[in-house]
Amino acid sequence: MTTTGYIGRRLLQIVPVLLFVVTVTFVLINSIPGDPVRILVGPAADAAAIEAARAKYGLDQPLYVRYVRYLAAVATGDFGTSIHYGGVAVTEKILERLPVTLLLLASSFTLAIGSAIPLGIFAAKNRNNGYDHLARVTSLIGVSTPSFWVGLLLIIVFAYYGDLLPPSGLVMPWADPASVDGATSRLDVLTTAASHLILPSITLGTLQMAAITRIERSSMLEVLNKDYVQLARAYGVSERTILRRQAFKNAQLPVLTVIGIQMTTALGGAVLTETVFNINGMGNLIITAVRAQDYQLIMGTTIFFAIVFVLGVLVVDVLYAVIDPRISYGGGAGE
Amino acid sequence: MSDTLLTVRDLHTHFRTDAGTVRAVDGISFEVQRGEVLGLVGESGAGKSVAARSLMRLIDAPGVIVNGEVRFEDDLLVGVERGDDLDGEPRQDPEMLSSREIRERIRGREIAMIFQDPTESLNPVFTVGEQLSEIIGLNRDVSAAEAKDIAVERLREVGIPEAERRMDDYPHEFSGGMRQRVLIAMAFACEPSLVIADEPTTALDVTVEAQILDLVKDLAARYDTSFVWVTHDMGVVAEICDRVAVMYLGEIVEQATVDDLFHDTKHPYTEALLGSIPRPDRDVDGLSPIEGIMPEAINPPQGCRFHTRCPHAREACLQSHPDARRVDGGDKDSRDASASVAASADDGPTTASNTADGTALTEVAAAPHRAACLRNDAFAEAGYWESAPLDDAESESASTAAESESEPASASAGDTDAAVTGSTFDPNADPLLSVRDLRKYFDASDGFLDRLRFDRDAGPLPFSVEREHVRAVDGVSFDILPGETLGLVGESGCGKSTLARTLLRLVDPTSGDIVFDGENLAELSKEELRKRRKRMQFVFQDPQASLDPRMTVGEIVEEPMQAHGLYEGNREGRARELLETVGLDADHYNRYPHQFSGGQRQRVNLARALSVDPDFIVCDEPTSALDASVQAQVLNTMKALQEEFGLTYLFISHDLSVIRHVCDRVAVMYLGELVELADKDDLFESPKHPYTRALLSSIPVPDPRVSRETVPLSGDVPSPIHPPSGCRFHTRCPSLVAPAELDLGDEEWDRVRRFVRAVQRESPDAAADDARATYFPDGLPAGDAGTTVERALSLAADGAWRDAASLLTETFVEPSVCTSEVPALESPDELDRIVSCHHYS
Amino acid sequence: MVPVSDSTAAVGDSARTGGVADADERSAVSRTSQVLRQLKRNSASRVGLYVIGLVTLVALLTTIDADLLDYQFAATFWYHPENDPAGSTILLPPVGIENSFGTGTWAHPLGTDHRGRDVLVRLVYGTRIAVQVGLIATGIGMTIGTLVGAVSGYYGGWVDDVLQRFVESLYAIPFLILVIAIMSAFGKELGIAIVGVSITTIPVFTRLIRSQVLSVREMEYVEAAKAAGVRDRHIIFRHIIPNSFAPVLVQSTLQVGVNILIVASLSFLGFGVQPPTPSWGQMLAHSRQYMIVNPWFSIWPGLAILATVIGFNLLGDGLRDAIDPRSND
Repeated sequence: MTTTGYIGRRLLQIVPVLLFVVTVTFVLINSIPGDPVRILVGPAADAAAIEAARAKYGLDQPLYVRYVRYLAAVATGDFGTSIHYGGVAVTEKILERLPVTLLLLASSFTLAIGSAIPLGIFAAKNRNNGYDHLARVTSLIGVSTPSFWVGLLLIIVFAYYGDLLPPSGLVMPWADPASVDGATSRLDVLTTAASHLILPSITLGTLQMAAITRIERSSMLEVLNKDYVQLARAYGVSERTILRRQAFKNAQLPVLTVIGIQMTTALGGAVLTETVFNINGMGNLIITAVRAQDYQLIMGTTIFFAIVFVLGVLVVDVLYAVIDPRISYGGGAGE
Repeated sequence: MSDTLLTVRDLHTHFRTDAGTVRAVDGISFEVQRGEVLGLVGESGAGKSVAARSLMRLIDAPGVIVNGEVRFEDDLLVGVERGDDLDGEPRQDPEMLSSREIRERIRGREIAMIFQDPTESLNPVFTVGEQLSEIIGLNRDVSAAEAKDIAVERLREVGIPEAERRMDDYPHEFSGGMRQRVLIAMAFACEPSLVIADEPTTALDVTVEAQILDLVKDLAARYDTSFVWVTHDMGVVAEICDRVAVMYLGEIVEQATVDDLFHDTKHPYTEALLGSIPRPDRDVDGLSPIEGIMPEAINPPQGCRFHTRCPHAREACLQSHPDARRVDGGDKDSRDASASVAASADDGPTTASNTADGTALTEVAAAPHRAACLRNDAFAEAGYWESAPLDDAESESASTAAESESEPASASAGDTDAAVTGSTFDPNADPLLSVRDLRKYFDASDGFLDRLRFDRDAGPLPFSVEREHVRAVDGVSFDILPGETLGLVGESGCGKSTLARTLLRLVDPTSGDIVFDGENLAELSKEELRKRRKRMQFVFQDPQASLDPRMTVGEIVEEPMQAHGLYEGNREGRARELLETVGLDADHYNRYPHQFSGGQRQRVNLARALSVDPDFIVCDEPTSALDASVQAQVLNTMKALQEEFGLTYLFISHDLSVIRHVCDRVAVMYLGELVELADKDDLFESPKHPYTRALLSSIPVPDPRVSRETVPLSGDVPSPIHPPSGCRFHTRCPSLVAPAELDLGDEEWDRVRRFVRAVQRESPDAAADDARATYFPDGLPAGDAGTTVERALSLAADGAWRDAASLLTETFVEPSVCTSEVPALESPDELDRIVSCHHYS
Repeated sequence: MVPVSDSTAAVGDSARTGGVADADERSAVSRTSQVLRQLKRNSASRVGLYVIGLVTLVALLTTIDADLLDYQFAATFWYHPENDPAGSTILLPPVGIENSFGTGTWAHPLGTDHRGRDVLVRLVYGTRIAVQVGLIATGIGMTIGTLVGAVSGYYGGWVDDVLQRFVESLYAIPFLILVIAIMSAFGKELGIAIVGVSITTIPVFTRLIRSQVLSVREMEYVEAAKAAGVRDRHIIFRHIIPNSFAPVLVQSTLQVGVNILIVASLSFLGFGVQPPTPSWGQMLAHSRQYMIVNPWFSIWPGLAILATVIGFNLLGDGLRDAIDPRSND
């Protein structure tokens, strides 16, 4: 079977998962104690207004009818309207915030992967010497630190004391120069965007980086002990070539698995990071929605987070299949 | 006149662990002559693999080469001197090659390696072509394109069909045998002078092993390559080696030409090793296992390291540690104890040795015969013959293992000889177990979504659903008579293990009947079946995996009794008694499985199986995970138990020598089907089915004087998902029935097929001047067939391969009955035998 | 050592060293004692044990005697320092350090918070919440997850299919989002937080134990028990669960650390423990407004979380190494 076929199959597998996600979210939000209509119309409304609202939102219908309607609406991309934002469509609000969060995720993953892979390989290569111990202790601290605390410390050091980088907000690199403070050209916008992006990316990336370093190291060590690496040595391949060629590709397979798992942590981390740095992304949106008890918005953001996660995992799976020929040929799950 | 390629002197490789220093290789010396195959033989833990890797300094921490010299031609690969203090700073010979030099000049270029496991030796994420070309490009001064050409050429040479296309395939698309061929191609591609092969055929089936051995012999002769061949298999040694070094506990105890080693054995360990292996070519009157187990290399026994297991051990063996000395009446100087190791360089192969048997030996075979045993004249000063024999009690206490693997108490009365003659069952009795048309299919995919296949033409949704089955067992019928041992033999993947599990309904059959003592097991409910299990037990292949690591041996043996409510109140007593019955100690009751050796664990398995007094025991490769000497112990115990308790065995094995040793009747399986079933003697003396014949001819015989004639089997076992039509063996069969239309004899038909294959492979032999004589020594076939062959021969000679091939396939396309019809089970002679082959129908 | 071995990536392979593994195995008595011995030998896991011991002790002491330290003082609102009967000052730095509010004294070794409460005392009381929630949530998640996974893995078939789809979907919602969604529906109390975190923990254990059971189920000793006629129930409880449990043990240790982090994150976002009950995450949330004037206020709670989580991670890593020596780095 081809890689395309594999992707097709994986896409098909996503459908039931997303259906389940929508169901879980729907059931969760609809099991809220008390009358959601009262929240919808506000405390001042009279009985007639409540009834009108109930009919308007279809809340007089039985639960399963509402469920089917919601499913149908979601299938067309309609997640309802947001009370808190004065009746704006939830989808519109989410699509406005989504790029911010995606930018943050992309930049932090780039940072994490870009630094963790060489670090992990270097640690494996220098197994059990000083550098390795340092890398192991550092990554242990990395996986044990609350990311939002890292954010606070970074703000204290770099924003308040160092006065080097901005403590809050995010500027999109594609923003109109006119809308950005003190920017006159595209270049200004880009530098401003970069300076805003550094601290949040480190904050969000710390945990990922530590986790990936750990797995990179142990996976590399395992591969270096495989027979085919021993054989390469026996045929005079240098350690350098072995690391860069024979072992590298194989060692990335478990790393990819961990990156997939880290995706869920990263999305949670995005909520915290956006809170710490006052960034108006999806994370801030869901917190606002919860505070305002804006249920349509809560459901919408939750489902969107799940979609981002599932697609992220799909990308990882496809990469896995690209690296490991045993997967895409469909001859079973490899090893 | 000596042309020594590799000299190893006093090599020590140790592993420093928390538990102590493991002296894996402890002072070995040998030489390899140009063009010679030196066998390095020993049981697991003898240190042979570590020795092989030490030669090229491929030892990882915590392993260290602490002392020794390895000289390859003019290069010093290892030159380390330790002095007297094991832990002291060693001196390095300044002449020793640096890591860089050894990597760039020696590894791959001069010395190549082949590892045991072809599955693990190739990198799964690169194509075979990439891997081959890279190694060739690195070790030969050629361009990338040339490297690729060499790779294709070598792949063709090692018999990979469609080599050019296969270059782009990944290792997982090759079978085990094909992968090993790729690795051999890699080894020869760099044109090294020496190849170190570490158990290269151990992971392969016998028929594939035979192909690989033939291939290697052929290539080694063509390129004049020397080999260091590491193996545990005496049959392989006899087959391929010129000279042999036998290792025990890190030392070489005997070194001789292969003929001397087998027929003029000087060391008791070699003797014992040879005595413990069953023979495929004849019945052996009782195996004589080696007592005990190999001690640990952390604390090797004082004196002679083998004395704890040696039947000839005397006081003197405790005192002096024998070094390897000449025992062929050659150089007397070597009696000087301290210098004897160094002496090996001086005495060379010039001295006459007693290779009096007149076997055609090469020059190198005149090398001296050395052994490290005080019983030989060379060790007169040690006073072996004057010292007192060790009595049993003493040798017991001296044994570090102290876990004797002696004969089971009930069977120790020397009745092993009687056991061999076997056949205590009545061939006319009603069968104990009767299997009819048994089938077991497995679903090849895991779940619904895994069955989905992307398919553009499938309609609105571009997916189609496939359901594939692995036909592991496909219509098998046979009987097992009470008291007999029925052997079930076949290559890996033939379905023999599945059959065994289906018989006892450990997996439910897809269809068919299993009648045990008049009751159809296939129809029983779960609980009824559970109660019947008391009468039939199972002994598994892997003695480690079949014992729960968290339970004591006592708990393990008692578990079945508990399940069936037997021996209430006296289970512990019964368990202790059983442990003694199978040759363990009653005191082992409280120990955990990991505290035992492999052979002992298999005895625990036997004790568990016996605990509920079964009638019938299925043994699935019970000894294949064990070393030869231990295997003999377990086999003898099983025989003794059968006699004592009147057991019926179904004995599954891929090892025909073992089957011959223990079974009364033998069934041969191929690709889910039974192809032949006969009395052991009939089967081994006159096999009828072509597959049985091929299988029997493939086993290497542990005797260099017996030359076997291999029936060549081409290719690999096909997939059981889409088994071949007609006779399942027809894709590999060397003697197909000729198509009726062609009017050819079977033998002529075989020759034509061989010729067609050669033309398809574009083999140079088919274009040579003497092609006609090579392929058709008795003249061309008559009629149209002959004319076609004639024309193809001349086309081939002109190099018009494609035309020749299409001409041949056009004419010889007619399907024979073998490809179109499933053969019926027939009894071809008066003997009690069934065969499934068109030749007999 | 002789530099004869020139392979830089020197990985000891017990299989290749012949007798090593055997020697080690035969000298031991049982696997449990072997694991314990290994743990004791490993200094990193010893440190982990000490940290966990200390934290647990503090949590226990404050639970047994709530007034051990001045709880009233630590937990109550002081709207203005002038109302403070103890005469404390807000946002004091630690001992010996000076800031715009004054110099740190031994009366408040780590300084005071924005309401003049002693940071150390609040940290001590915060320990209880962290440990409690970490342990309880992990315990619930592990129990349910293990049961679901074991049933799913052992029986297979449609039961497995349905359970796996469900677990996968739970897993598809990023866990912090899932807990937030749960808490937005059922309330922001600590109890709900525990339930929410437990639910997000379930899939972790279900996946883990299921994969274990799938491999243990195929082990020959399970087949041997079946062949001997042992009942399913006995097989599950005597063979399958005991032999699948080691990685669960390791994961639960690590998961306590993860869950402490999640609960702290929730408190930081304003979910979970509500003021004035002290919790580490909430202290960090409050400290955000005073980062310039008294950065120390932000440092201590973070260090407390870090130390505790490191403790569990060290022990978990040590357990893994002890149980499976091959995974050792």
